[in-house]
Amino acid sequence: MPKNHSRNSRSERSRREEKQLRRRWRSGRVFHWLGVFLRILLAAVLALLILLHRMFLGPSQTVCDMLTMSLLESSALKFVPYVYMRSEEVDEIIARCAVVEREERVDPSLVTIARPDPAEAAGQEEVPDIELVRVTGSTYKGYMMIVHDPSRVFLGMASETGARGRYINEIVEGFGAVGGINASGFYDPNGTGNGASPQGTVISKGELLRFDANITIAGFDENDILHVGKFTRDELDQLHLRDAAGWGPALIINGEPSEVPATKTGLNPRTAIGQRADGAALLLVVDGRHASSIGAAYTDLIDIMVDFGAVNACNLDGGFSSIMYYEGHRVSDVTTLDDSRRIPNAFLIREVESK
Amino acid sequence: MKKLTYARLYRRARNYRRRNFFFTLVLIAAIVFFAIFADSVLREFEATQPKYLVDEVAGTLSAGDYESMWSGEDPTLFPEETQEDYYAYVRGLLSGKEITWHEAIVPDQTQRGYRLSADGREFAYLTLRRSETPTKHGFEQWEVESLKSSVIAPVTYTVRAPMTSSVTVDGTVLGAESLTGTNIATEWDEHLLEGMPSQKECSYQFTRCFSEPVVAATDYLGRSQTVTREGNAFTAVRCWDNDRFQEDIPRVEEVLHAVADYIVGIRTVGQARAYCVKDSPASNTMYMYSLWTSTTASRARIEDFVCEDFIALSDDFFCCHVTANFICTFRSRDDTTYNLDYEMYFQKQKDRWALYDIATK
Repeated sequence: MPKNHSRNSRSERSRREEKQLRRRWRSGRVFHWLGVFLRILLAAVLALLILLHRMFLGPSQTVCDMLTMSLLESSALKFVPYVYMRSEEVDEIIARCAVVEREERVDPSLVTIARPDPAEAAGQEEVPDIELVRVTGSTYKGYMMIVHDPSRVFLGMASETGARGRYINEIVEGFGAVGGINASGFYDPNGTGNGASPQGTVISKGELLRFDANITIAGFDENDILHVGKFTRDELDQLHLRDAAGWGPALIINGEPSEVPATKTGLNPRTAIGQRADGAALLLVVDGRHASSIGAAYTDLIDIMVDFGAVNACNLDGGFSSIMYYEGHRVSDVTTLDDSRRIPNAFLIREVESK
Repeated sequence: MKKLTYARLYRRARNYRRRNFFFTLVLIAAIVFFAIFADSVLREFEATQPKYLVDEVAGTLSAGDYESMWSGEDPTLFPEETQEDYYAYVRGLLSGKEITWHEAIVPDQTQRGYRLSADGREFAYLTLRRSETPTKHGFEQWEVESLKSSVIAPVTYTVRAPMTSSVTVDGTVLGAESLTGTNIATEWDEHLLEGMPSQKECSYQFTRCFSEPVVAATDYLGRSQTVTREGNAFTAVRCWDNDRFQEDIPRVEEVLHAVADYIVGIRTVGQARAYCVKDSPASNTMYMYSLWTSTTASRARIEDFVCEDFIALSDDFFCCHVTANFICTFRSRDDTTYNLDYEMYFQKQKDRWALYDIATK
């Protein structure tokens, strides 16, 4: 019996030990897989940092310029280039890639607004008042909205008080418009702006709501001619703009494109407005910052506008704000995770009946 | 299930440590490989950027190699000018200047256009064409399609010269095919004697694309004429015969004095007409003038007399340009100075030069 007892107690101890060892083994495996996961994560982060390092400081100046300009044009990631480069180097890139805007004034005689005689138009093939055309390039996808009657395009403000901006659909529906695109840039520290404070000159219904001579704007005068440029107060008084907003740079003035020294600069979502020689307004939104459309550079916008026959064109606010809304739907793919952004104003297209 | 012992656990743990070590090594190797791969892709991407091709073209131009530009030209557009002229012109445009470029908008996606400038002045347009073979990683490659001068355009020049002159441009005599006008009246024509050779002029026109033309002219005596230029208009100035008429200057002054004296009433019309060719325009004008002249001076003198630009219009006929200050003393008022500026025409009569005509300049 004692012999038996001691054998039992040994096997009991052995079972306990094994149980303990198995527990240790299991927890060891958990730690092991956790370690594997962390190492993979660390490797991925390291790979990303190395990739960024090579992109900023590697063998390709073009990639460095493109990435730097893309990030600088964003609201929240402006700081990234400064992590890898000295501020003087970043300034050098900005200077190298800056658009040289044309300073001449728009020549209204280059635009003759076609106002078809209803009697003459009766026998002809009907042309839609608004055309929506898909535009694509190697790095972007977007939409061009052609509004044949420029008098239908006006600036809709998000709010009278300026407390905060509104979503594009709210602005469009609030004005009973057919559609629209975002317009003014706005105060947006670290991408947290709520569209309350537009930047640059803003004119709505002929009333000057905000003045800033340093930001390029696009505005329609009383004859529905689109003017593009940086305007002094006196010039604004002479032009009698009815609706204006902007961000710049000017892309095309009097048929001559602005000079873009670098072949490709920042790739980002973009919004632009232009006008053809026959007066048709061109509203362009290019998607960006997602896999199917990285974004467009200013040269791309100029190319698109030239393709569509623009004689005058101006870049508007881009990035997360870029959006086009038409007939109750968001046309462009918004880049924000939580739907579209609040914006201070939008170029809208009036319903024909309400004109 | 095998019984787990310390020894077995130790062996398993050792195996895991080995595997972990190799896994970590693999990760590090993957990262290094990734970095090398990323570098090679970026390097390849950078190498395919068309700006380097444009820089290369600009570099060859800066180095004085204009072959690429010449090959893009159509020499039939400038038949009078040679390849050497072209190179000299381009060298003048580019030498010592900074060549810059900027991209132009080209609707064709398979092409890219660049405007080349020297010190800000555009001089050529470069077209690149997308190569059919992309790089290993699929990047587009570019090659030069054409380089064309954007400043070469025909410039029209005109030359005006006496009809009796022979005009050459870059050593080639301008012929009838270059004539754009003949019998163009000159200031001398209306004062000539009947039957005298015409002093009329003619005009020529020629074009050059880039070279500066060298225009020369010789008169009917084979003397080289001075050629003046105003913009793109050349004028062959007549050869003056000043040397030939130096000894006749006192006679010219004497005649001018007589005419001026007559005008202010110091000499009679008869005295003045004695210096003129009989029935000449000068003589007749004086006679007409005598019918209504009333100015009378008591004394007169000539100062600052200059006589130049002699032209021998024939062996016994010449003209010259005279300027002088004619100072008159009047009894009833202060001295008055008249600035005389005449083209005077003289005809030889009995070995003396007599005034034939006079024209105010």
